[in-house]
Amino acid sequence: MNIPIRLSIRHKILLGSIGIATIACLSIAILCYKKAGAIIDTAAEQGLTGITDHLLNLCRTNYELNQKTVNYNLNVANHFVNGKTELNNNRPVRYNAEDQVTHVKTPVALPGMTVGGTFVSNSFELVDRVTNMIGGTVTIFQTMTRPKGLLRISTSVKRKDGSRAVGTYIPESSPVYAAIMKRETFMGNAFVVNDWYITAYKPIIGAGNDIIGTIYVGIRQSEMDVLRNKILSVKHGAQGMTYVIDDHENSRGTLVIHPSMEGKNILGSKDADGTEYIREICSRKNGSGIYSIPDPETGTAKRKMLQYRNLPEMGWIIVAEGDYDEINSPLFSLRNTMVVVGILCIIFIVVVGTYFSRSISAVVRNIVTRLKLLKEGDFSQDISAEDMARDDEFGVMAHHFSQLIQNTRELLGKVKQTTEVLTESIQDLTVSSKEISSTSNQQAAAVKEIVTTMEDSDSLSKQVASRIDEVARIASQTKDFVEKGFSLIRETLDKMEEIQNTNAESITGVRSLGTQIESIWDVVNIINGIADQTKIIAFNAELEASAAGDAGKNFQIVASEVRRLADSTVSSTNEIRQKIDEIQRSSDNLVLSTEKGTERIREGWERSTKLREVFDEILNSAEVSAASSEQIVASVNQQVSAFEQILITLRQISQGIDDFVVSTRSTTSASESLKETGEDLKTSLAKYILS
Amino acid sequence: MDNDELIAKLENSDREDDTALAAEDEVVHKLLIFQIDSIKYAVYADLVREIVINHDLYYIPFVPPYIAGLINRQGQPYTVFDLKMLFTNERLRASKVLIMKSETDYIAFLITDVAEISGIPASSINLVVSSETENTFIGSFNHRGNEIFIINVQEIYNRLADDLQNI
Repeated sequence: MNIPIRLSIRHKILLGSIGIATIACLSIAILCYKKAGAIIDTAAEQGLTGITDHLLNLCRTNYELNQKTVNYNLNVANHFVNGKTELNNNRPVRYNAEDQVTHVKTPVALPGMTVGGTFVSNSFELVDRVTNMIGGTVTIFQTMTRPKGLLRISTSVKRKDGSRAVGTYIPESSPVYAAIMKRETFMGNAFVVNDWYITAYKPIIGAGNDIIGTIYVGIRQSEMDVLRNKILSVKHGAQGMTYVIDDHENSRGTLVIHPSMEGKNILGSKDADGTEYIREICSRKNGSGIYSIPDPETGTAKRKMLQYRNLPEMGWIIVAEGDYDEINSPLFSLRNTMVVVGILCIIFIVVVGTYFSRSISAVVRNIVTRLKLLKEGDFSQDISAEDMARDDEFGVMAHHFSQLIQNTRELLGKVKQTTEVLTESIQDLTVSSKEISSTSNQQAAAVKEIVTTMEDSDSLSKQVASRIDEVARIASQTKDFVEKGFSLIRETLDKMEEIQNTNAESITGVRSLGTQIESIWDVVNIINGIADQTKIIAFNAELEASAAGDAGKNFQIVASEVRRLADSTVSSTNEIRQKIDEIQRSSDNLVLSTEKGTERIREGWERSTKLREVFDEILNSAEVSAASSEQIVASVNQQVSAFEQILITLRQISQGIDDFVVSTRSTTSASESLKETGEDLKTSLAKYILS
Repeated sequence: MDNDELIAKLENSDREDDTALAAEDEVVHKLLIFQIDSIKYAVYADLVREIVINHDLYYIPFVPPYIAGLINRQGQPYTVFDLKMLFTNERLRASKVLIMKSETDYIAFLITDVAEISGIPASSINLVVSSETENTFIGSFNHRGNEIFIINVQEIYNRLADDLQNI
């Protein structure tokens, strides 16, 4: 690759050292930066994993403890109801039963329910008393058959508006209903009215050993304050936080525990790249990722590192979030330090590089100056003693260079002396050669003039011979043409006679045709008269038919048709008349034209006769001219042959003199060239300064 | 097609029938159209007995100039009127003659040619109301773009009678 900028050795050394140093510093800095970044990311990921794992264990333990508590509570509640519950058909109660999942309402009427003789349908004294004893929530369900389900008839569970959730029912599709119908106790995480609870359900068996109802106890998952506070208190760094996302089918994406947005569903939230990251977390259940999440207050996207774990027992996903910039703040500090150190290194290398490049370039510069003087022919100056005294390779180079200058100076002195002697000898040779050349040139010019004159004469005599040949040929051709013309005129006269006869016959024929056309004219007139009379008869018939009234209608039509026929006959005869007129006019014109043609033919015949007489005379003259031309051609050809012989001899003499002139010119030119070479050598040597 | 459309169609049909009946009721006159030179005139066809051609015309002296002469038609002498002379005071050179029907007179008109016999509805004939032209023409009608005048034959008979009395 050619670099268009010319740089001195000094600058090249300086730029090279700076470039190498910069690349080295940058490579080390980038390597360190990348490595440190990877270490920090790994450490942060491990930190967030530790937090999520810790919280997962905490929640799981808490869930298990609460489930045990609920199981104990169920035993207490069951003690109050089982074996003491009856249905009273004489006291039915109406409900507007609402499916707790679909919220579809169905009016139903069920027998009233008593526990230990106390009426509990739509009465809350018993459930409130048990709730106060064991905590959480307590419900008594009554079994429904149409629709199938477990209807809350007495409960301490409340709706969102604070009213008791009496009248809502667990539908047939619920796993709770299935377990109860199998006479089993259900324990676990279940959806109650409008939220998820840690629950326990037990069937209530009636007097007839059938399942007449269910007793329930439960603790709301999101109301476990100790667990909630613990989760919120754990965070990674100052900007980090932890929260819990609901992963149940119907409430997926709702923030169960969160520092600021609890209860809000953020399933459709998108990061700066448009990814629905909460949906992604819910589908993956466990994992980690880095997302640019917009701040809900400012709207500014910040990079967050997320670590999440699933807790299937509670339907939760625990998320630990760390601020990416905060995590990487040590890396940014390291980057700034490396930039400062790199700049200091480059400055140091520039200073050292400047010193060394100056030392090297001084010697080179002195040698270059001497080389410039030698190029201009100055061999009088030597290399400085200071440069030759150097101990390094540059000192040796200066010493050898000085020796080379001295040797060259001696050689040039000897060449100068030899050139002076050679130039004088060449001068004498040149003068004598020029004199010989001048004389031979004069002789050659004289002979050439004679040759030129002879060539002109030869050319002229050849032209004369050529012209005479042409004249003789043309005379012969003229004689032939005249003979042909004479023959043609004779034929023309014969043809013209034939035309005259034919033309006379044509005129007779055309006149006869005119007479015949006139007879056609008479016939047409007769037809026309008949047609005219027919027309009149037809009109008369039409008049008669008209006078006859309705009886003559058909006759009128016939008469009308006859009239139209007569009309068309008249029209046709008119056209025939026009045509006959045209034919007659054409026939007349033809007769006139033919008569004029006859006159012209006669004139032509007379002129052709005169022409034949003239051609007789021309033929005689042409024969005489052709004979004379042939004699002249023979004489001129003899003269041309003699001239050619003389000219060949003179050209041979001229060629010999020309060869001699060329030789003398060549000698003169060689001596001139030698003289110029000697002069050039003298001039070249003169510019060298030897002392 | 629904009921309303059928009723409308039947009503239209009734109207067309009425129009046709009205048209049938209209009087159509048969007119003989003839030429004097290139100008066309007409007479009622029922007033024309016949048309003759190339009949010998006998000159009569001391009569009005519009009388071209006499022709002998089946033994009856017909007075031949030169209508061109009557209208433009120029003599007509022609060979066709219209023989007119008349119980009292034997009258004929000299004409150039007969054009056609045509039925013209009475409504298409514009009767002349001007007192000046009423003597010569009864009216006119437009036939194929040309306005054709109908000659008042009776008035011409009257004029001949008057002029002959004054001789």
